[in-house]
Amino acid sequence: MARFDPALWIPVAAACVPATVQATQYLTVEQAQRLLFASAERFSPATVRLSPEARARIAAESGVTSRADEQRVWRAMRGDTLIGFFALDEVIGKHELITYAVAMDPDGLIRGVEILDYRESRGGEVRNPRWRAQFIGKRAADTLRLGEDIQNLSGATLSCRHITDGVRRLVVLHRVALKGP
Amino acid sequence: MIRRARPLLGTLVAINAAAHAGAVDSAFDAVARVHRLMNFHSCDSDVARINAAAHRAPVIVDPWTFDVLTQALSLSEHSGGAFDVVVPGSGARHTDIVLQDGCRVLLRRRARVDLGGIAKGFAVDRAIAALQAAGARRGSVNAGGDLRFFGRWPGPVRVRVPGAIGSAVALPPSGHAAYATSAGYFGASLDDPRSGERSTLAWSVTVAAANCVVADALTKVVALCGPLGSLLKPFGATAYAVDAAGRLHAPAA
Repeated sequence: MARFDPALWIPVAAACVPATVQATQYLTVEQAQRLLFASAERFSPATVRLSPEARARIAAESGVTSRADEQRVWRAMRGDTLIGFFALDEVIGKHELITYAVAMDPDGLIRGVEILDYRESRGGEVRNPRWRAQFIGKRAADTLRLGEDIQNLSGATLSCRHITDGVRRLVVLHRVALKGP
Repeated sequence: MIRRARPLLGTLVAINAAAHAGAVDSAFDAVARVHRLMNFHSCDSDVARINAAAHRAPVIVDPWTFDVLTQALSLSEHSGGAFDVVVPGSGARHTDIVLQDGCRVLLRRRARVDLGGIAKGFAVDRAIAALQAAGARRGSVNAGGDLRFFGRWPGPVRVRVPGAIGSAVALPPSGHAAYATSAGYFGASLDDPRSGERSTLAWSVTVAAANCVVADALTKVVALCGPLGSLLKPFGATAYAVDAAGRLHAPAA
């Protein structure tokens, strides 16, 4: 049985890049809205405030607990017609912060998921609201120089399982709190 | 330069390209197609249909799935079974997969096929092809451990240090455009298909090759068997390892 055998390798000189924070901004909120709803004429904010009962129901039906009692949502409109919902959410892991958007049609069917921001760090600042706030809705032109780094980085990105969980939660949230009569 | 990322293939797929937005869309479409066809966990993917029924009668699959299986079997043969898309445990092996004309897949016995060790590399290759077909001048696709670029050298490729979030090692230029890394970064483990034994990797292994499908499959083989010239040379591939202290290693022989 083969085992990983260090004797088969020899050390070579290499630049160990000083510990850096991986940071990439892919899209601003406005860019993501236009991308996911190309035919929309406007996006009207429709942030959802969730009652404790609604939160409990969403948690029970999706298996995912909502952190906040608020969910940022926009209604994508063409004329007076609702063409879908744009929900903005974030995944906060131990080391990573991922802001992503989910587009749903009026019936709650997923039309697309786009990543807006990806940030990762060694420290615990990911859980600090002020650290997180600096990345939301930044303009592409302000992107940190660090953004170049991730494109050449091989090795697993942190799990995207949390995004899948978040998308499932938003689909249930639509049923509980957005779906019309 | 357009930059986009979407959650696909169980990871974050990031695409950068000097191209129009439609080119990037078509690259994501290619990745999403691979995701749909080869997802082990969905019940209507080609892989699920093979696992459910191909031991009774041939299952017709998409040409892309057939292409991946063809390359997987060739890599299994080349590696003496160290690479195997058949999940260990049932006694079945890659030799139990029979590929027939017309994209038909037959299993000689009941087996579970999992393309997780190669589909991601294939998806990156298809995404690169889609970008090029749409006229992109340069670009890169990074699917959590599988990375390929074209058009212009984007600077040194860097590999995460296992167990040290946020630090990375720069690889020397390899002349290759495709890289894949395997490691126990976040508690991931690797099964030896020949013994079914599971091991966690304290080191990461990176293979650079001409395309990602080969690099992806070979990282698993090199992680299990070491950087043997007989594995790497036929593909003109290069291997690196990074230990937990962030030291880069090359094959000893």
